[in-house]
Amino acid sequence: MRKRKDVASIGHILQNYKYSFKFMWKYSKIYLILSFFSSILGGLFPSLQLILTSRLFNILEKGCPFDEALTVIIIMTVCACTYVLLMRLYSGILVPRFSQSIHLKVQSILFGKVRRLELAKYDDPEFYNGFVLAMQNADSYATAAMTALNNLFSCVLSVVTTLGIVIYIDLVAMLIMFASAIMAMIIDANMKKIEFKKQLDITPIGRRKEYIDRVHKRADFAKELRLSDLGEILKQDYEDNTADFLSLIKRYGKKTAILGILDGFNINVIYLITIAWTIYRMVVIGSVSLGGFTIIVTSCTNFKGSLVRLVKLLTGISKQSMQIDKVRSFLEYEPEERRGSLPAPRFESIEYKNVSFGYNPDKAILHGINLKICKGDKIAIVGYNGAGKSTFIKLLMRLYEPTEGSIIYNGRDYREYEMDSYRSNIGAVFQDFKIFATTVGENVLGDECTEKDIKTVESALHYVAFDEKLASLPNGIDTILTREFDEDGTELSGGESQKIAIARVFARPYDLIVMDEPSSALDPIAEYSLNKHIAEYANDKTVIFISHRLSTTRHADRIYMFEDGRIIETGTHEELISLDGKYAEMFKIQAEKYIVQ
Amino acid sequence: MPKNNLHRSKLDLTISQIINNFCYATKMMMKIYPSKFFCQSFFWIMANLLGFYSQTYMLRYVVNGVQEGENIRIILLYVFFMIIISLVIGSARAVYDHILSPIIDQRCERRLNLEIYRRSIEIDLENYENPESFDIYDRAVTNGADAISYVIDCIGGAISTLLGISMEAYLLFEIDPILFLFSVVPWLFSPLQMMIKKEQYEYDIEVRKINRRKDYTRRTFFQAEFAKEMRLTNLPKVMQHRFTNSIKDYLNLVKTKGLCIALLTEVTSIGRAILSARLAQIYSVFQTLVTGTMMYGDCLVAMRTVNSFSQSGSNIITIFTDIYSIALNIRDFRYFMENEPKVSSNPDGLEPVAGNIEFKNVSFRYDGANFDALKNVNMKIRQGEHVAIVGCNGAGKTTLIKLLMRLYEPTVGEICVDENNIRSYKLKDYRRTYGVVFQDFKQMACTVAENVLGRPYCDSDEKTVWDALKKAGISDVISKLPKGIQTVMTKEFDNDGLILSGGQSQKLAIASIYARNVDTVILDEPSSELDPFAENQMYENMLAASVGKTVIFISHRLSACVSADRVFYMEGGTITETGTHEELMKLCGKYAEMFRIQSENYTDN
Repeated sequence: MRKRKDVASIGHILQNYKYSFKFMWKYSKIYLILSFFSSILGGLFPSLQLILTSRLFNILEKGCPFDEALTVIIIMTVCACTYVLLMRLYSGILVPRFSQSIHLKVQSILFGKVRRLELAKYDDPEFYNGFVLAMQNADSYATAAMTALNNLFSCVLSVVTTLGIVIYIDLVAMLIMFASAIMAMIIDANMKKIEFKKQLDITPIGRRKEYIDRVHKRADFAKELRLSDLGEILKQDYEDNTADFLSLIKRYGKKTAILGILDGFNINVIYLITIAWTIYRMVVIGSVSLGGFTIIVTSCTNFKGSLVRLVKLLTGISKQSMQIDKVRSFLEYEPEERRGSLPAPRFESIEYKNVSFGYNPDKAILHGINLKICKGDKIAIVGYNGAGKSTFIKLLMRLYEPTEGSIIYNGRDYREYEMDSYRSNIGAVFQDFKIFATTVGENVLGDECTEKDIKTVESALHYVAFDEKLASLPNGIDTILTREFDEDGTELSGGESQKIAIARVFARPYDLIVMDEPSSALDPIAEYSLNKHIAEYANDKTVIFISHRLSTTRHADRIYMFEDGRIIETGTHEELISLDGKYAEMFKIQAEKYIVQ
Repeated sequence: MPKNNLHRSKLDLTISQIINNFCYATKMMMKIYPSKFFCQSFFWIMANLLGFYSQTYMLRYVVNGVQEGENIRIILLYVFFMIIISLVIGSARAVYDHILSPIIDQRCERRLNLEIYRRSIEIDLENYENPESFDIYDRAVTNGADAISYVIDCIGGAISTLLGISMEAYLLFEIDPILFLFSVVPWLFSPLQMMIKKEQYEYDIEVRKINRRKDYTRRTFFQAEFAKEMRLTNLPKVMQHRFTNSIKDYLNLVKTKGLCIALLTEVTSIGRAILSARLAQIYSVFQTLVTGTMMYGDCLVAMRTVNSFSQSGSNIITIFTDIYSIALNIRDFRYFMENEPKVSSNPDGLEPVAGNIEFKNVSFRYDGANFDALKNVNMKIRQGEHVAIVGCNGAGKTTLIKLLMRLYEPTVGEICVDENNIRSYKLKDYRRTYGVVFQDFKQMACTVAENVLGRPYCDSDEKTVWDALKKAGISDVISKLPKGIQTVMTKEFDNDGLILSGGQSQKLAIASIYARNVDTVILDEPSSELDPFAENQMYENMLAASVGKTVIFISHRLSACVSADRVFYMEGGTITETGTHEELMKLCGKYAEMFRIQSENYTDN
């Protein structure tokens, strides 16, 4: 991570821009060149118009023949039309096309990176926040330098040419304009400082308001709000919040009002003073022509606008540089060495040797786990909530790696195998699975679903008793799930979603299947039928079943009971019952109610 | 107002609908933002007038005066006078913009928001649970509120524009009537411009759709909830594909519609420029140079004014399109505010009392569904009974409960408590007689005490809250916290906010049942998150808390039914079996089968 001090330095900003620039040059030279030309056009055109207009008025003043005036007007028309046409073409057609293709390029690179990112990084808030910002800012990353430079160049060109023209006419007028522009910048800078402070104070207030809005707007609390008086609490909160906000406005408002008055003075009064001065020069001294007068009048406000824009750009540059930083640091991040290039053979055995793990180094979730699972075993892992069962699975899938000890797959430390190859042997259903906004087929397969995959998907769905629902879907396997992508998408119920998640395990010939609380959302009949199907399907496969409903785990070959991250009891159901330990107690509690007296 | 559902946003409104809706929006605006409207319009108009005046009339006077050789002192005095006026108006405006306006804004918004909040709770639950209505309701509140405040800009802008146009027209006419003609010509392009606006609107909608897809695919890559699947499957490839396709779609859109819009815009703007501004320019120059009927000042001002006047034409069109979009966006909001909820609040109704609950021939169908969720349900629960309602997913159990609590109204039949139809009771008070623990129970970001009480806290509540926490078995967790029951929950606003585990959360929910004075306790699938030990504890606590009260359990886990006074088995929206556990087992029906399946593995064969 870069040190804070460096980040704001000019050298660092330049470096970031060079980086972005190089990227653009590599992937879209044309865009770069075209945008450069457009900025030149944008910078020069206003001044050109100015010169032509003043020429016209000089012609008027001198009483030249009408032809000359007509010529000037025609030239102005042609210039204006060409300019507008070109700019429209550029911004309306070329820019979207080019920027999208760059955007695509950047995203592809980022996506590739993300894929290889370790899951542990998602739990590191500093990294994760930076990572999220990087993904969100990816768009501007590449084009940032180019846009900034172009705008800068265009602005500078415009300012310089205007200045040059005005100096030529009257020095003092130009100085007045210039002074006014400087004042505008100072006012603006001060405004920004105050705004920034105000923003810091407002943010928590804004968040509160947003929360109150959210509670009323979303379905999460709709029932609660009707069944209790929680709405009153929210109302009170809102009133308090509003009062805070009002006092904030008053406090900052006084300061910004003064600046606002100065700003108004700057805009209107200076304009009038400039006119008065120019009139004086024109009438009394005679050094300014009518054409000159029109130039000054027209450029007065424009000039200031350009200069203010210039300042905005300069301040925007450091902000953009920070964004580029985020993207860069993510791109430069290399996941810790993931050695392992061996292709993983089919599953024979897996062994945990003294495995410990914790998200934080000082807070271990698993302690000294020792177990071995061989091909064909049907294993159950039970325990109360928080015992570490799900973490056990995450380690198995190599989503995390043990902090101590090792996991041995077919006799080798599993880190020696190539990641994807290793994972392709294990099919897992997690408690917190997610349904993606894509077709049923793709959700089940976890991959693109082609003609030859249809049968596989259908039979997997058959195992989880999804046939009836499948038949009722508008497009069968090609139905898009969730409404994220498409307003006409299909929303599945909790139980139906769970079936899809489970079907994933049946869609590929995994040797080892792991299921973590797969039937929590299913009713007893569905659960019973699922368990039957699993038993059928898993005849010769290895299955690890996690549940706290001991009825489902009873027939396992071996049961491991977890508590506080340790294995406290092991054995078959009968063995553990005669042991009369914690497992027996847990079973008794559950069974009690079912046993008819 | 039609009583059917909030409709999907159609683009076509009749003229009378537009006027009607816009008037409604204006009425709302006057109700909520009157001071803002007057102040803002005043300042706007003053500022615009001043600006306009100094750019045209003043300039004209000055330049003409110079040409005619008027006394320069008078001219300078005049300019000086303008300076003073500018200063005064400018200062007033600054004070308004920075102090008065935000305060007025905030006060007005407060009024609006309180209305919206109140109404959100009043409208039918249906609007939240039906995904179709929800989208629309969402839009109603967001777009509607914007639409109302936008009326100010719209009307203020309209007045400003119309004033400006009249002044410009007058000026042009005064200088030379023919100029006026030139300026009007571009207005002939108006139909073309309207067409462009319509195309642009549709284009924007398409772009938004595409962006939504793009955004989603991108999110799957970096949001933690997708992280596992994104690593364990090939879904990243699928998502990337969709991302690329979204971009392709966008580019196609640009090539077709985008190109079309760009060309049309070009044609109009060039046409306008040439036909009006340039021709007027040539005319003015001719009059100044050749015939000498125009003065320099006139010429200078004329050229500028013709240009801006022709653009005013498009400003007028903007006024119309603004009115149209306001009328469009206000529809859903209007429905939100005006529509009578199906569940009437009955503020003059009876005081609810505890008593027997009876469902008489109740049927119910969700709006837009093809089948009844409840069919001819007949059920009687005696006061103080503990009953269980069981059945497969989708059998109608939760729907039954929602009807009992008057979150929905039955389509057919009636529900009675203590011999009275529940509609005859005061709605609010009636609902408060129920203590519910729902499946998807969530804590709000207020204090523990407030969450437990379900209403604002006062000091006399302290004992009640602690008692409730103790009975629910969670007081030890809370007493360890430095702020005790005043601890704020969730990490929304406070990084040290309290987050409870699944089991603890449910204990807190149970505490709230103790703390509120309820007649009936309802538990809807409460133990799905809990492990057997906690589940057992919870049931025991529950029974202890409900002495003398009616208790209704809904659960998958039939173990709860064994000790219930009565069990109702539901299937396909009806109650198919009723009786005690023993009676139903003897019946050997569906319940017995379900029970057998669940218990099979627990009993030793």
